Amino acid sequence: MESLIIYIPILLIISTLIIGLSTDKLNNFYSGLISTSLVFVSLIISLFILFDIFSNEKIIYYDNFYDWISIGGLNIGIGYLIDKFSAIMLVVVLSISSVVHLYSIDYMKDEKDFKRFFSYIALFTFSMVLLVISNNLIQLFIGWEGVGLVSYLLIGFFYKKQSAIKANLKAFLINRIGDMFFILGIAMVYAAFDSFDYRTIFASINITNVSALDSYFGLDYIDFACLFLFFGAMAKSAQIPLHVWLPDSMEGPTPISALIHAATMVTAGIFMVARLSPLYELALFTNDFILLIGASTALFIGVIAIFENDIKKVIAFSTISQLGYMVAALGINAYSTSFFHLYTHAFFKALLFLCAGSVIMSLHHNQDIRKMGGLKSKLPITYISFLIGTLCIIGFPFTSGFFSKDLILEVMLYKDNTISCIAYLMLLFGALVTTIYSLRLLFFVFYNEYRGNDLHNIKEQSKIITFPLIVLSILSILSGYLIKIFVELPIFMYQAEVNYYGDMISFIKHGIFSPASVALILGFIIAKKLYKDNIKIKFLDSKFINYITIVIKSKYKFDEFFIYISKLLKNSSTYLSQKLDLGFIDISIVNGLPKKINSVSGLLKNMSSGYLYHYAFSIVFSLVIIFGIILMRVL
Amino acid sequence: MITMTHYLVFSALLFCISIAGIFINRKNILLLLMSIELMLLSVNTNFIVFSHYSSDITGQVFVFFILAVAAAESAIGLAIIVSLFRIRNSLEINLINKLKG
Repeated sequence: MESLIIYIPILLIISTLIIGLSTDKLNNFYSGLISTSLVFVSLIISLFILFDIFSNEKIIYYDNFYDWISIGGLNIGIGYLIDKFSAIMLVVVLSISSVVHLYSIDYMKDEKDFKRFFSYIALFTFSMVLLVISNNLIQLFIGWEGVGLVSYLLIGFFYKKQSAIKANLKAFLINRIGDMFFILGIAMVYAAFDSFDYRTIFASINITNVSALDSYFGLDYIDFACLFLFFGAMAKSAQIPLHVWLPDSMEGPTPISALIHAATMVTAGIFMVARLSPLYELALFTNDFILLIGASTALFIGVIAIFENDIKKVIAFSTISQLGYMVAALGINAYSTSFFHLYTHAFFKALLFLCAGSVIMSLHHNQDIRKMGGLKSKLPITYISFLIGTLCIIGFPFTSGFFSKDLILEVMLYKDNTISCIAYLMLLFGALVTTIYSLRLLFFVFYNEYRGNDLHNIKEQSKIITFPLIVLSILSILSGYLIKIFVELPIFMYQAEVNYYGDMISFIKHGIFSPASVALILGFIIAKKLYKDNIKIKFLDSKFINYITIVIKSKYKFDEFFIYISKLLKNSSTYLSQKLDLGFIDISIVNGLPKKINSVSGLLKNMSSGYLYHYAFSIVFSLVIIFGIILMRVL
Repeated sequence: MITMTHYLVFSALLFCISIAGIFINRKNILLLLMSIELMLLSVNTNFIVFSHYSSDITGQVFVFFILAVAAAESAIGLAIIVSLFRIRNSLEINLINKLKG
C-alpha cells in the first residue's frame, strides 16, 4: 500500500497540467470529467491507505520520494509521513475536493475560463496533499505557500471584477504577514533541533533538552518558536486579528469557498499545529495565547454573522467562528478533539457552501438574503441539505456537530484554571450565537414569503449539483459516529487524557444534558421569534443595544485598523524618505562626498605647480625633516 | 691650523649655496645646471677630506668617477638646454612649468 502514496500527488498534478495546458479540442465537460475522475481515483487510493493504516496497529509510513536539497549536514527531502492522523486528513481533503470537482462541472458550465478553474482547483488539492503528507517542515512550507498562492488565484478568478482583485490581494498580503512569522518559527525550530524532519525533531524533544535552550523576555525558546508558527496558522486559519481576508475571499466562485473554507486552506493552520503537537505540548504560555485567540474568535466573529446579509458571508463568518473552536481546543492541548471538529466541520461546511451555491444559482446570482425567503418548496433537496448542514453546525443531537462541539466544550473544563474557564464561557456563548445566526440564515432563505422577483422561474438544479449535496448530507450526519477513532488517535498526538468519554450512549446522554443544549434551545427560541415570526421586541430597540449593534456591524473596525496601520507605515516611510534618504543621505553622502573630494583635490592640485624649484624645495625640505627626525631619535 | 671641521663646514656652505641657487634662481636654466655642479663639488670635497684624514685612497678614486659622471651629465644637460632654446627661444625657468602631475 505504501507504494501507492506517491500516485496521489502525481495524479493531481497530472490533472492540473492536462486541464491547464489542453487546447480547445478537449471540451469543457470532458475536461471537468477527467479532472474529477483523477481526484476520485486519488480519493480511492487514500481510502486504501486509510484502511491499511487502521488495520495494523501502530503503523507509520515514512520515506522520502527523493532528496531535494543535500548540502553538508542539511538534508531536505520530499517525502511522506502517513499515520492515522494524516491518513484521515488526506481522505477528508480528497473527498471534499472530489465532491467540489463534481459540483463545479455544473456550477461553472457557463464560464469561459472553465478549464482554468479546474486546473486551479486540482493544483489547490495538490498543494494541500503535499502539505498533509509532508514529513518535514520545508515540504510543509511549500504546500503551505502553494495553497496560499492558488487561493490568491482562485479568489481573483473573476479577474475583471475590481472587488475580486482587491479581495485576493488582501488575502495574499494578510497571509504574507503570517508566513513571515511562520518562516521565523521554522528557522527557530531548525536552530534548536538541527533538523527539519518531524521524526528527528520529535525524537530530540524532551524536557531537559528544551529547558536548556535560551529564553527571551522571560519566555522560553520553545514558546517563541511555537508562537511564531502559530502566527502563521492565525493568518491561514483566519484567527483574530488576521481573519479579515476570509470574508472578502467570498468574491471567488462558490465551489471555491467550499473548498477553501471546508477542507483545505483554512484547516492547514489547525493541521500544522496538531502535527507539531509535541512542540506545542511544551509551550505553556503559547497554549494560553492560542486558547484565548481561539475562544475570542469563536465568539466575536460569530456575532458579526448575525448582522450579515450576504448568504456566503454569513457562512464565511461562521467558518471563522468554527475555526475558533478548533483553535481553542488546540490551546488546551486536545489536538485529537480539535481534529475531530475539523473533520466534521469539513463535511457540513462544504455542504452549507454548496447549498448556498445552489441557492445562488437558482436565484440568478442574487446573494442578498433579504431578497430570498420561502424557497422551501421550490428547492426541496437544497432545503433538506441546508437544514442538515444547519443542524450539524448548531450541534443538534445525533448530528456530527453535536459530537464534536460537545467534546470541545468538555475538554475546556479539563484544565482547571481561570483562562480555560473564561474560554469555556466564551465558547458556550459562541454556541448560542452559532445557533442564532445559522437559524437566521435558514429562516431568511427558506421560510416566510419570497421577497425577490421571478418566483416561478426558480427551480431545483440538475443532478450534478444535487448529488454532491446528498452525499455530503449523509456524510455530515454519519461522520460524528466515528468519535471513538478520533478520541483514541495515538500517533504523535500527546493528548489530554480521555476521561471525558466513556462510550457512545453515555456520551450522547451527557451531551444532551450539557449547557450546550441550553444554548441550543435558547438560540432556537430567539432566532424563531426574531427571524421567523418577526416579533419585534422592545428591548432590542434600546439605546445600549443599538450602540452594540453599531460596533458589531463595523466588524470591530479590524479593516480600518489595518488600513490605519498601513497608512501609518506609508506616512512614516514617506517622512523617512524625505528626511533621511533625500535630506541626509542624498545631500551629504551621495552628492556631498564627491563635492568634498572635488574641493580637496583642487587644493592638492594647486600644490603641483610644475615649477622645478618648487619640487626641489619640497624634496629638500622633506629630506631635512626626515633627517631631523632621525637625528632626534639617535641623539 | 685648518682642521677637518673647517673643510666640512666649507663643503656644507657650498652645498647650501648651491641649493639656494636652485631655489632662488628664477631666471636662467643654465644657472640651475651650474648649481647642480656646485652641489656635486661640495660632495666631492667631503669625499676628499674624509679620504685624506682617514688615509684611505678609495675616497679620492671615487671623486674621479664622480667628476667623470658629472662631466657626462652636464654634457647631456647642456645638449637638452640647447635643444630647449631652439624650441622656445628662451631659457627662463618661469616659463617652464610643464611638470604638472
